[in-house]
Amino acid sequence: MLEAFGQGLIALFQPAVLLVMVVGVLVGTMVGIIPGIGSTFVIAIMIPFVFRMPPEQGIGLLVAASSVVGTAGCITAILLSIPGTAFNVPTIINGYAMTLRGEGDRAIGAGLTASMVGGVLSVFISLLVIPLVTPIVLAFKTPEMFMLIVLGLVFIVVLTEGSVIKGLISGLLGVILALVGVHASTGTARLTFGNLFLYNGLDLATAALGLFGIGSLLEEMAKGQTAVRRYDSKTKMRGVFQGVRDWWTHKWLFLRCTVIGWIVGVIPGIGGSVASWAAYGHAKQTTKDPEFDKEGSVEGVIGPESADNACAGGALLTTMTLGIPGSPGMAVMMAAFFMVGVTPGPSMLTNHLPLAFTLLAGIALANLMAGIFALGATPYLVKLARVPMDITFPVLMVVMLSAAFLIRQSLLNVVAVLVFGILGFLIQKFGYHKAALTLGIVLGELFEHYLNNSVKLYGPTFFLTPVSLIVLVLVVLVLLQSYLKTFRRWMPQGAKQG
Amino acid sequence: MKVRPSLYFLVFLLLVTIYVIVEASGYRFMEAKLLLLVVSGAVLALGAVQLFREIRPRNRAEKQPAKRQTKESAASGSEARRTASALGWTAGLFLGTYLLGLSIAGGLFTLAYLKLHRRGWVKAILITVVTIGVINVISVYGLKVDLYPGLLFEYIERTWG
Repeated sequence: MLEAFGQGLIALFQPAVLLVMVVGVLVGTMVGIIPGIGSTFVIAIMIPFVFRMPPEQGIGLLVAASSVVGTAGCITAILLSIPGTAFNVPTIINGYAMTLRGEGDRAIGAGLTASMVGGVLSVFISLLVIPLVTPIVLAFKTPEMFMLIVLGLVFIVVLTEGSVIKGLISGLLGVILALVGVHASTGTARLTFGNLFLYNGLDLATAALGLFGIGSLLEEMAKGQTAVRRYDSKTKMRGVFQGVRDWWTHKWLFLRCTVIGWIVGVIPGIGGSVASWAAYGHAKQTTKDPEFDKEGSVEGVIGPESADNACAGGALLTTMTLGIPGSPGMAVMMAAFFMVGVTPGPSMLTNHLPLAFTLLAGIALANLMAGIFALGATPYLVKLARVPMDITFPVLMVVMLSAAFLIRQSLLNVVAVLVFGILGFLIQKFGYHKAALTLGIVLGELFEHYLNNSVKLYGPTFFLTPVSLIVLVLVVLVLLQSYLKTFRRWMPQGAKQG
Repeated sequence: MKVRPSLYFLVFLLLVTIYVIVEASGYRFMEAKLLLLVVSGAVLALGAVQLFREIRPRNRAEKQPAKRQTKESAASGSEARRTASALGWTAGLFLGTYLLGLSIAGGLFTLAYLKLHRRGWVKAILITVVTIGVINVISVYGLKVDLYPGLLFEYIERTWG
């Protein structure tokens, strides 16, 4: 094992491999900044270039590019409320609020550090558990997956601040939106109005771009203010270093969220969005900061950002060792594996173990490169947030509509983004919850898919398996903790009234 | 009795939900409609509770001093004007995109918006050129995807191209 690890590292530090990884990091960072375009897209567009490359270079390029997309996306999420990728959506809630109060550089410092170290740490976890992971992953069958989705949906209650009813309405509306499109097993076209564009369903990137990008822009325009209300013009690296210190202060939260992200990444078919939302929910549940979700809390940035990149390490592990793609991006990555002559699966641990180590260490190296590059550029990038709104509005609107077109190469996707934008604006205005709506969209389709398959395969008592019951206990615990938190919030008021 | 905008929004959401229930009821397979019906039903029930809550506290708002109510309505009036302006510009951009394509409409929109918001010609042209240039370089050369050309140019190409 150690010998293979050494061989893997030697292969990684070959000049040609390092060079393609630098190219991958640069491409991934640039794509990450473009709103709505995620790692799946970057892998897909780069596949033709890796066709004739040796596996270390070809897959190394893809791994480097795809694993840093979320790192760069964190910057636009925090500064402009535009999610670079769907994984960055939870970061917006607190990150953008911090930008509005003039602490965007601090939020970016904390977010990038959490993202970078989370990515590196997930690789170490993967390296440590390679021999143990296979039986655990195989224990997650359809019923267990369904229970995990239920656990995710329960987080709607956790996400809800203010009116729980409005939060639940938002989350359930998200589930309805997720069910738009052709039903996979019956072929029924649901809520499509006979329009072919809607047959494929509503894209998460489209929804996130509309709800958080256009929606927030309209919100700022309605308030009639520039993006940043207070800003220290002398701020340079100080805010960024403050963010790095914040990350260290909240190291245990970071660690827990990294593990959450890694676990979600390892479990096939769930994806990075769930990881970052789960981490955000956990941060919200455990925070003592009264500004969380209001004026912005750094914990709300550290949580999702650490889980987001940690997910990539976990997902690659499952893809390589089991031949099961851990995310849509990894499904495209599997195609690239075959193209360069490597068959992912258990044989990877016997026939290509050095390559497995090269790729895992490659994720760590790519994260380090992207993190350091982005941290260094932060003082210049935060200036974006100081641009007056009468310049920001037309530029961002054109950029977002172009990104909307690029996601599905259809003008109807531009319409969809605008509709989501207006919905996001109204939802925020009337006290509903964009975050809960997005979580509903993320989990809705998965919920139905695993429910149908579980009932078909295991009958109505499908959830009576040991792992499912453990997850069920977790569901109850999350609900109980939320209930106790609400109860404690109400207690002093009751005492005052009494 | 003054109806609050949030009430209109809630009623809109409830009407959409009722439409979903009616539409889903017509699906042939139970598997395709079950979750939609359950979720929509839950939204309807929660919406009814929210509707009751929205109507109930209205009396308290009506008891606010007249001066405060005037101030609030003036603030919401200017907010509504700003929102309408932003939505108008957005609608214009979309219409322009539909007819002239993303590059031309985006350029015209950026230039017009900047000029009407008192930016100098040089600055306005520079920002427009950089924005449209970067978008085109990324999409056409980076992603190998042509931006939407617009109905007019599609028509011209079909007719004379």
